[in-house]
Amino acid sequence: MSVGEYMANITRPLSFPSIPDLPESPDFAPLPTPGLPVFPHGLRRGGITEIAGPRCSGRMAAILHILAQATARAEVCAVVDTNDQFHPASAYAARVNLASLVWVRCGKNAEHALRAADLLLHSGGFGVVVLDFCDVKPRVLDRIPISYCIVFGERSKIRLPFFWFVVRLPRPKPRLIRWS
Amino acid sequence: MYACLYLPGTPNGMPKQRLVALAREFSPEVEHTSADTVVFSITPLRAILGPPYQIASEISRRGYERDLNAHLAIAANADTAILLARQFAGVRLVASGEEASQLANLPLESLFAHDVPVDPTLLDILHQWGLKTCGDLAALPEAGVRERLGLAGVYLRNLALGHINRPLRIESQEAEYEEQLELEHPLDRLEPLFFLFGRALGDLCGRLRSQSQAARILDARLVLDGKPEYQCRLEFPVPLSDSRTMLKLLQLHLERHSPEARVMGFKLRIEPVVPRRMQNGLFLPPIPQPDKLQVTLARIAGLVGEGNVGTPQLLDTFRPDAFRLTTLNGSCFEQKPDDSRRQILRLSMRIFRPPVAAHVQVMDFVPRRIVAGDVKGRVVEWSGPWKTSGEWWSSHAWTREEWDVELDDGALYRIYRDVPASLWYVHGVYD
Amino acid sequence: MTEGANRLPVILPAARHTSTTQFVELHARSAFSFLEGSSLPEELAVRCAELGITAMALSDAHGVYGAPRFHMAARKLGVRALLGAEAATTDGSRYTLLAKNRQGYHNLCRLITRTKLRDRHRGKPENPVATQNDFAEFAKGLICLTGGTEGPLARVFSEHRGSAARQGVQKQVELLIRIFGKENVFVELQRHHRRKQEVRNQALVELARSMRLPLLATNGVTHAIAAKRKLQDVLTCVKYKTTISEAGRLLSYNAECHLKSSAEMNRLFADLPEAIAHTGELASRLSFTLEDLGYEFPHYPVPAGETEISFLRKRTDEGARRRYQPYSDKARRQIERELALIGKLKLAGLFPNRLGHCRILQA
Repeated sequence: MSVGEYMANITRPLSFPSIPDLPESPDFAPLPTPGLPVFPHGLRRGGITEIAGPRCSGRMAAILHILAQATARAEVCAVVDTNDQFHPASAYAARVNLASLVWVRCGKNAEHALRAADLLLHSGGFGVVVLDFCDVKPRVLDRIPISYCIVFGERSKIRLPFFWFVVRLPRPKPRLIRWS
Repeated sequence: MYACLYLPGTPNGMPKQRLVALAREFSPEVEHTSADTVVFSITPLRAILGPPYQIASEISRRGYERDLNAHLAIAANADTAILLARQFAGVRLVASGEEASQLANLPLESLFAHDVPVDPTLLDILHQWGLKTCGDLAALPEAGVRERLGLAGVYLRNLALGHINRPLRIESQEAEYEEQLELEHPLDRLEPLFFLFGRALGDLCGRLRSQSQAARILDARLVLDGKPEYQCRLEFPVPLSDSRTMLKLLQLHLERHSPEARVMGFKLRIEPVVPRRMQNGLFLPPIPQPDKLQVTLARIAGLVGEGNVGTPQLLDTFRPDAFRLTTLNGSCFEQKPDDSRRQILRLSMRIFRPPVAAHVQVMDFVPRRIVAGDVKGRVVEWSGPWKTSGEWWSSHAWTREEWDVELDDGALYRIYRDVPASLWYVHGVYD
Repeated sequence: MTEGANRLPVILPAARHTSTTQFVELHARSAFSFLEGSSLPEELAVRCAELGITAMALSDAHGVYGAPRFHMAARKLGVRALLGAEAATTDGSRYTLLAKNRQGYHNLCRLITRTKLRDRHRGKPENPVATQNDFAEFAKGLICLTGGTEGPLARVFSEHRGSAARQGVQKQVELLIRIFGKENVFVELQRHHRRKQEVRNQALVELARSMRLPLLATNGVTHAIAAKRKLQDVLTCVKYKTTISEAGRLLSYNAECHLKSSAEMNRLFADLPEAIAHTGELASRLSFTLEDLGYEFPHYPVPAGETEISFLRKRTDEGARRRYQPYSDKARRQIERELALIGKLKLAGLFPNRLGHCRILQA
């Protein structure tokens, strides 16, 4: 039995409580990600996609899959790893081209993570930027000023060619943030 | 076409360097004919600057900017250009085919002043013959000259006619990219220093670019007041030739590791490389600008610590979670899309760093219950033990028995027992 | 999740298992596999005796050099020394071959000799390679195991995934069956507590069941005891001309490639008891040991319906009647005694040969 089958059997379903509705506008730049059925329309370029779910729901698998595809398209990607949990061997196994991946280990400092992500954003040119908030304590998340969200939101409006993922803990009531 | 620059009255070597620097702005290959003369080819410049008179005006403009009062001559061959530059002040242009007429009025002595392999006593003979100018020598029949003076005579005649075509004698010498400055007043703040760095780097980068080169390493040394020399070596994964980016990287480094005392002077040295040239395809995805990215990564490194940002590289060992963070390799900017990668969704892990110490209840050699921070529960499914050990010769030796366990809350963890210490840890979670 | 099919490979714990089937190690390399084994044949034999293993096959890489020493040591300790070798193929993998009978031993030796002679002129005698034709020519009397990490199936798994791997492995097994015959091919399983290996094992079990091939548990032994793993690592460095700190994943993954007792192997293969049972069965089929190596004289072609001894008896009778006139009882008794001795020493083929020579000389 393959691990993929195993995962399909054992892990609980992924939930994506706050993926923004895909607007029917010419600005929308869909990017099909075959193999990832939860994104039927692909991911919006220049948009923020939030992936949330409980432990073992396949959050990391989904991220690595997206990274693998992006690096296969010769894009340079970045992972801002708040809790220092990224596993390079898993990424390699998922066919992520590690040579075009920037990994920022933030040592459990959420503020550093946000600032690093902002800097990467300013730099521009990334295919995918992943901001990983998994296992960050909710009270830390609550302390993040809303201004960051607005800053990121502004970026997504001007359609920079990157993806923006926020991976985070499930919340009792997911905040639905629409950036468009 | 060749241009010759001649700077009259140059007793020491300093003006020669300026002369060479001026010549190098136009061509990477410069012949150092003598202490006061340089020759270089301008043929490739015709495509950029236009006809010879425009090249000449550009050279004189740059010379004027540098305050060099040099003679300039442009001719179809190097020797004609040299002879003319030495004889006439200002700018002299010789069209192809007019060499003999332009050289005709030159005294014969000028041929011998030239660095030629000819016996100087020949001049006396020519004088005895009543010859005074190059035109006189050129007018003699070649056969007669050869009969009386041999090959040296023929060479001199050809020189007078402007018929000698020879390649430039280029001395291959590594250009030095170094700027240093000693300050009259020591600086205790960094801002004025950055201003000076900016100027020095601007100069260095200008020279780099003129040689079609880029910087691979920037080596900065600061002379400190009463302390040992401050050294900083910045290695650029992608060669740079932009002074502002270099300044920014240097600035970021100095802000993180500021010198311990006042700065008395500095020396900047650049190790050049030939930069990578690549053309992005029209349909290729955008990538970060290498110089901008380097600055960004340096900023992030300042935030999260130097060793915490980079490109992960797996190590050739069986040791669990063995990796190294390296600086972003320039090759990532030259990736080609690879459609052959199969699209697969795989079981992936998140690693707990450091591993979480766990209390594990073992029954029949199998872990049954785990308590480790927020990871706790009854084991409902397990697989293992997976044994790994290695590096027994070093202090990094490990012997582990790993288990993949599913807890009753549905989560799947990798736990392991450190065999020598007989302690359990949660290594990570399949996510 | 459903029980069984989707279960991760599980190695069952010892306490659950009580009955112990006799295990015979059929895939082991000694130090005579140059730089690929770290224990001398004697050490292996001693360890077998200590663990109560009654028989073991020594299958060194590209040779049977270790067999005599192993045989001598094992005989003293009451361990049956079986014989085999690993033969490299053109695709870089290795077939593990075991001698079933005298002919098998013959063929194994001839196969190895051929590959070594072939490569001699290329200056690389340490990497002899046998072609499929060689295997086909010398397949008689040999048992083929599908091998461990160096076997042909592991190679397919390392190069392909998913259905491509399954098809590749099936093709490879079909090839082995074509060469060696279905009853002589065993799907080998090794369990060194490695995830990758277990994924491969699961696929092999599935394949063996679908193709109705017997499973066979071995431990791919390279050293007699776990402590010898360090020596093995050092030898690996010598082999690849590298230092131990730079050898990386060339070294062994863990220290599991040592001889294991029946109880331990039964515990490892608790979910596949047939794999252990087959080792005993196969060992009983391997009738050849170096004990049976005595010289055998060339056979003499006798007419149909005759054996060599009956043929010799008739020729002797004819000769005696010519020689002894009268043909006394004393002479008859003497001849009878000598014929009985010839029969006992299996020299019956020799004398008709000599008779032929004499006739030629007389003519």
